[in-house]
Amino acid sequence: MTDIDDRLRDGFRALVEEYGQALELPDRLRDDALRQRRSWLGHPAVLVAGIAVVVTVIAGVSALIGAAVRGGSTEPAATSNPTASRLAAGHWQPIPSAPVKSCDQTAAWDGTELVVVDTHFGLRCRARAATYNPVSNTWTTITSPPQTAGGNPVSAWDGTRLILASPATSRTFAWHPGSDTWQTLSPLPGGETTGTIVSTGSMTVAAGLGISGHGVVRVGGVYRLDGTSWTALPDLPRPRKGVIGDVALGGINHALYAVVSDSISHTNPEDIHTTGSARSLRLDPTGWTLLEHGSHQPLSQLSATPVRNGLLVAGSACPTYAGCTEEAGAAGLLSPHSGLSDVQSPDGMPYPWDETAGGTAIVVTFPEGSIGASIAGPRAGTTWISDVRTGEWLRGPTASATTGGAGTYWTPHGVISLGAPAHSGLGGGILVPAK
Amino acid sequence: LDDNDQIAQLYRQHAGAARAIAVAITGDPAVADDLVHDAFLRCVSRLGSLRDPEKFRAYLLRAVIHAAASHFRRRGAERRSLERMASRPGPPASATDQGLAGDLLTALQSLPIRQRTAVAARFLLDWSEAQTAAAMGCRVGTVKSLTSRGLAGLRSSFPDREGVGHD
Repeated sequence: MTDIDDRLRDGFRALVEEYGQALELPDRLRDDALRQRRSWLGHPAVLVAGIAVVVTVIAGVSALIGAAVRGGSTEPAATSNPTASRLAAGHWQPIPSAPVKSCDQTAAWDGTELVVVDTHFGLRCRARAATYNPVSNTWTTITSPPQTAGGNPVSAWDGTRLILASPATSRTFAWHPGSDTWQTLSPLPGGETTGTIVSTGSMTVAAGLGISGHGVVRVGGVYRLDGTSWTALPDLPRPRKGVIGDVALGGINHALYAVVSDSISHTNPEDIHTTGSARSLRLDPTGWTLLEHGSHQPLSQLSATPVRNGLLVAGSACPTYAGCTEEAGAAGLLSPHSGLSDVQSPDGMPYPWDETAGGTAIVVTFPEGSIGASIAGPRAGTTWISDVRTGEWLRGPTASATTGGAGTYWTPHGVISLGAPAHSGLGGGILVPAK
Repeated sequence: LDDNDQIAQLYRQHAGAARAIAVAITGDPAVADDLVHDAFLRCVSRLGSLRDPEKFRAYLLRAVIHAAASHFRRRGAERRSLERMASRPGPPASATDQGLAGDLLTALQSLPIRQRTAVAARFLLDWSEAQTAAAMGCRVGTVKSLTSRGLAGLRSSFPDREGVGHD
């Protein structure tokens, strides 16, 4: 952790000490609160809610009994690539709490286990790491990453080690599973903070985003990992208008592709969101080639995961200026032949919250929403699965409300969806495909 | 506990944290107090309907975050804040002028509202990305992006020990 980070941490602590002390309830607020509470207690909706709770409890107990009767065959069986139909006919199996708190974590599948790393910067959470084995349904603590890793980590498995980087710093690290040790790699040469990192099967590549002034992202450097140091590849081309907001990298048939979200928000003070358009690019020997077909959607906050002969690119969109108070969602499929095309959602599905993809399917889960937030959409735990060959959406099994929200990961044993209630150990569920 | 005692206890336990994040987002303790009071009243009125009353703190903090967002939307304060930011000649006053908390507040006000909210939720409340995303009505990826940019902005504008901003 750098000196400035230590000082920022001290600043947050000081702010809590100065403004976050326990307060006594003012008399006037007490009177108002008592009036609110009493008027609410007399409301007929209370009785309806009470009945609903009883029904829910009965339904929950019935589900638990059903699960117990079905029990005994919940161990996920490895399969090279679960199909959409088998996932849709599968079931969610809870996974136990992890020795890693639910702060902000990254994870990568190492071929056997999911390596989960948290490098949080805040006051209470600290850098921790663990691996999850879906066959034994157990967690194992591993050596914690260096505190200097910074927050909001991104990671990729390069075949033998986990490469870790942070959008908060230009530092990078590698975790070696054999020795359970962390190795410090060279920082990104341009000093950019790391926006994304990906292993294409033939190389590990990071895209760095440079920051200038008040958080305006201005450049996009791309680097290939050679041993312990990074070699510069051609920079991402700058947009004609605005700046590079986000970038997602991915490999298709060993070629490197990038989907770049261009931000124009800084040009319009009325717009507090990232708004722009997405470009899709391929890295050729001569440099980045712009693919002709771009998305019509103003994608931002991108992620990319490989599917059959393509990449699933998921992000958010906030397509209007001052009127945009919540993000809409957006997803696209990047194909080497047809470029980036919009993914059509099934009716009633607003947009993916947590998504992952494998060779055959895209799995979308919806974690628990927030009270009071005007977020429309499926209830928590809803799962949708898309067959990437046909584009057909299938309704999957419903997960428990605490599943999801902290990332979804494709494995040969099923789809792991991490999530947890506040500040308890990270847990979630695994969507086990039907046999 | 009767209603009176329960409400007083809830306020004592949770209003401080709510005020801290409201101050961090708005930069104005008086506005923050108003937001906390309104949010507290709303949450108390729904106390009996909460699936888990133990989550009152989370509900209150989310309500404050929503109230702060509404405040800025209502008043167009984001635009004015950005204009102020654009006209600001340099880094904020030195650390010795206003203390660490004041320095951080000044630096926070230089961030766009959504970056400020994400950073405050993550680092002041120690919320997870998922919690922050749920409260802000956005995706986890958005929180990652807002937080990393906000943190980068804070690093560039927060004065170091000699009172000099980073860039």
